[in-house]
Amino acid sequence: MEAKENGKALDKREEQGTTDASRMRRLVFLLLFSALVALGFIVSVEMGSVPITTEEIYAALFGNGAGTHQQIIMNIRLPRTIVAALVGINLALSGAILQAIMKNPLADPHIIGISSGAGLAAVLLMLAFPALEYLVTPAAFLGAMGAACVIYLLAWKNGIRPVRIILAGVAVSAFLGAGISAVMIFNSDKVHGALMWMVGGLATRSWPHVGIIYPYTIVGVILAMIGAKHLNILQLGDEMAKGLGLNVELTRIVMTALAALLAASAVSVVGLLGFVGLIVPHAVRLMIGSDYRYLLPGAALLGAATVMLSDTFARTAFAPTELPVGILMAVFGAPFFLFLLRREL
Amino acid sequence: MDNVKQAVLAAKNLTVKIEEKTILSDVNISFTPGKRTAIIGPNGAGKSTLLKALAGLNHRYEGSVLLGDEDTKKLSRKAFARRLAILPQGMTVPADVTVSELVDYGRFPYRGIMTAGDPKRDREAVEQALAKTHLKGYMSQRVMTLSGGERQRAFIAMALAQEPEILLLDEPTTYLDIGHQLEVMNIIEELNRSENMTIIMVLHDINHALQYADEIVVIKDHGIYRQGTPGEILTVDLLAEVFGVKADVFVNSNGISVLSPISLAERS
Repeated sequence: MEAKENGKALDKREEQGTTDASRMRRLVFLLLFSALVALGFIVSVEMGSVPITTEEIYAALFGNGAGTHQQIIMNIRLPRTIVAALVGINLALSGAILQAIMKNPLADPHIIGISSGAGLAAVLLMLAFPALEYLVTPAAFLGAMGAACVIYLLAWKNGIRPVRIILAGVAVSAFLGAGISAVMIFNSDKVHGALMWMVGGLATRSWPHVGIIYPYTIVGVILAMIGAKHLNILQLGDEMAKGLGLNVELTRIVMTALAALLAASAVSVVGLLGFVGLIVPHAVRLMIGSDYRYLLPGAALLGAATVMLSDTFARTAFAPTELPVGILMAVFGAPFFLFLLRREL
Repeated sequence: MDNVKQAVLAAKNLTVKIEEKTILSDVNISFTPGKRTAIIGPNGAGKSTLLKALAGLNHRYEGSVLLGDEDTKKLSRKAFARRLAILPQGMTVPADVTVSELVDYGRFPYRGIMTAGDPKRDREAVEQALAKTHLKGYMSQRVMTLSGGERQRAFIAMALAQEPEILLLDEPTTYLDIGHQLEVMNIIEELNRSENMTIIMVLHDINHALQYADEIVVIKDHGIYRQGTPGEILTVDLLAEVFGVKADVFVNSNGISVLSPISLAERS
């Protein structure tokens, strides 16, 4: 009997150990992601046709930089790097939130019509009304939010069920996708710019784009972190969540709207970057676990690092030709994701 | 606790329709505080529907559900969840959620949108819930890797962390072997005895109802068919009327009558 008691005490100590281990693991990954963000930032500002040194970055940011390098940092590299980071944060958070509220691992900003809505609006402007091309960003934003609202309304029937949103999303996206194809076919002679936009890229993005996207990032990060514990409860299923006192419908509406705003702001600035919103949250879930209080900051950090590093590689690897970052992310990210998936399952 | 007058949970003129189909029709019932009530009835009679309406999981009904003299629809969801907990059927959690994390979710109704609540009080409640369900040694195990009986105890512990006056359970022993069935039923009995917690449970095993319930509610044809003590309600005749089953009755060595189904009754 006594031996048994001792055994139990020992078990308990060991179990306490595994709790600490999983806490440790989360912390290590969050630190690792933070380091990747720092690395991505430095590399992204330093690398390019004109090499920049870390001292020059420091001088430009905190004091007395001067000359052309100062100009390059402040007017070209730094804003583009910031846009990359903010886009990464927004898309990764959006995908992570949608995966929780749809309780579906395939949920990403596409599913609520962000891509097809923004795509149709942007392609229409670029090809059918090229004189209005300077309006692509607001039009894409409105298109994205419009499509998201339509899908939400179509899926509404005594409340929202995730599967209805997903099916309505597939149908609306197919419908809008037909529109995109039609516009492109009727204007096939000048389709190149639109294609670049559809793949997503950061070429020539600068301070005005930072100005467009950063308010959404700030509000998005704050609301997402407040929402984290609610998303944890929602993962237990609608019935259990209601039983625990969560207003399931309200949580779903607010968080879907937040995800739509985050993704729409990102997509309207850099085009249809598909990969970050789906794979980054998943990769973080496989590494950090499903507790949204850690998953959300992890996704934000890894999203920022991924886009900064990929964009740096995309514009330097085949210099002077610049690859659209969307292609590059998918080429490297998909195999990495498959590696994580194989290892975990 | 015993001296505090507990509020009565009751349904008044409760009618529930799902997709135009009437599931419950004009149900009036009240549940005695501090007692264990078992709801029984054939499949599709509306047992789970009644439980969900009582617990506020479904607010689409006519009539009202009252806790004391308050309409439960008018209580805030969190305030209600601090007084009444429900264990629905067939729950799952993400694969990496541990027992202690799951039980801690039971403290959600005590936390604000921005604030953390009272961490010390939360820890105490979680520890007590784990102790009452004999899960202290399982804290860092993943819920989905536990056996069926252990998992059900973990979900009960989460409900207990809500520190409710009333606990609702929907077929808490489904899919468990007989040993784990009794283990779960004993925990429920103990909660009722030691804390005077009101228990309302849907049971499919008539003999569990006979052994563990103080009161029986029989649901048939969208309404309450009978309500009373197990001895007066659960008879051979009732099994024939409600379930269409012919049964024998025995007295077991605990002195409790048990019913043993023999064959389908001839339907008249």
